[in-house]
Amino acid sequence: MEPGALSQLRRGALEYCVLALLQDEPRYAVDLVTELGRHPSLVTSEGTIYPLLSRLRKEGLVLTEQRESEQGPPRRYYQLTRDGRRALDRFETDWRAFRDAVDETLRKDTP
Amino acid sequence: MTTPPLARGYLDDLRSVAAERLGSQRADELVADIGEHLEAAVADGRSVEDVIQRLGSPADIVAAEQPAPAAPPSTAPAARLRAQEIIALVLLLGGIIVFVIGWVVGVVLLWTSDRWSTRDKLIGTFLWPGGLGPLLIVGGFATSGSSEIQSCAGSTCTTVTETTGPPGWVGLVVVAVLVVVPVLTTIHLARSARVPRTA
Repeated sequence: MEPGALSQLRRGALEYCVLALLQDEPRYAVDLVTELGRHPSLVTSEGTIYPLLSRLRKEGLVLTEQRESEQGPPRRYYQLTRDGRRALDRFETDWRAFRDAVDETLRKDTP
Repeated sequence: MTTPPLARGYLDDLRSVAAERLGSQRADELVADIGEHLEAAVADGRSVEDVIQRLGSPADIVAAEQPAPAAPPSTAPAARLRAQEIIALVLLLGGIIVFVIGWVVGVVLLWTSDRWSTRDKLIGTFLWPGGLGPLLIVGGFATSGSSEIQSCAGSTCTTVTETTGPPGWVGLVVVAVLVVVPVLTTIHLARSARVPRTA
């Protein structure tokens, strides 16, 4: 099993990565998940993103919409809500400060 | 589109794990999401094995559904058995020797605990009433129904056990059933009591 600390960080950051991927346009759930899955340090099991998406929807940070598809059944698209965008902006600011502080501290410890 | 057996097996597993932990409505939604993902990824030219491997185990997916706990859910230790459940299990199994009342107290503790379902409580009460008690009664018959004959020729002695009751294997089966069933019942109850029940 992975170290607890990393999995906690990942869990916290992943939802904002989902929001970030949606900031330009609505996206098809499968594309969204596949794209996140390209980063193994971020996502170990793609399937775990679906529960996350459902939570974001309940929290009102994303909306879903069914779109007709040429091949197969209708596809579920996710898009950012105004609250979602606000949460993302706030996270970006906090994250940069957090990341810089951690980087700087780690660098001091390395001779 | 037809679902390949491997994918169907995976989705069935997911459904049963999810239904148990999240309820059937949320399980259906989750299975629909994951099923759509599988179908689309396979239609995109990826192999079912690959897609399933990347999706991760049903247990991990369902664990991600629960609000973030302090530790990753799959490594979180099961809830500890509380004193009430431990005492209930001990009394159900062996309480009969404490003037029979011990077992009755065990049954009361069993039925007043919130850790067990009604089904578990019925299992705990009726498999077997008295726990290992019936074994003592039957065991008593078994010893009274057999006698040992020792015959000696010179320095070698042989002991022959003669059973006067039903053939020996019948007794063995009965004893085995009387021991195994309550032990299995106790193990089952100990396991289910580790999980706090959600209403």
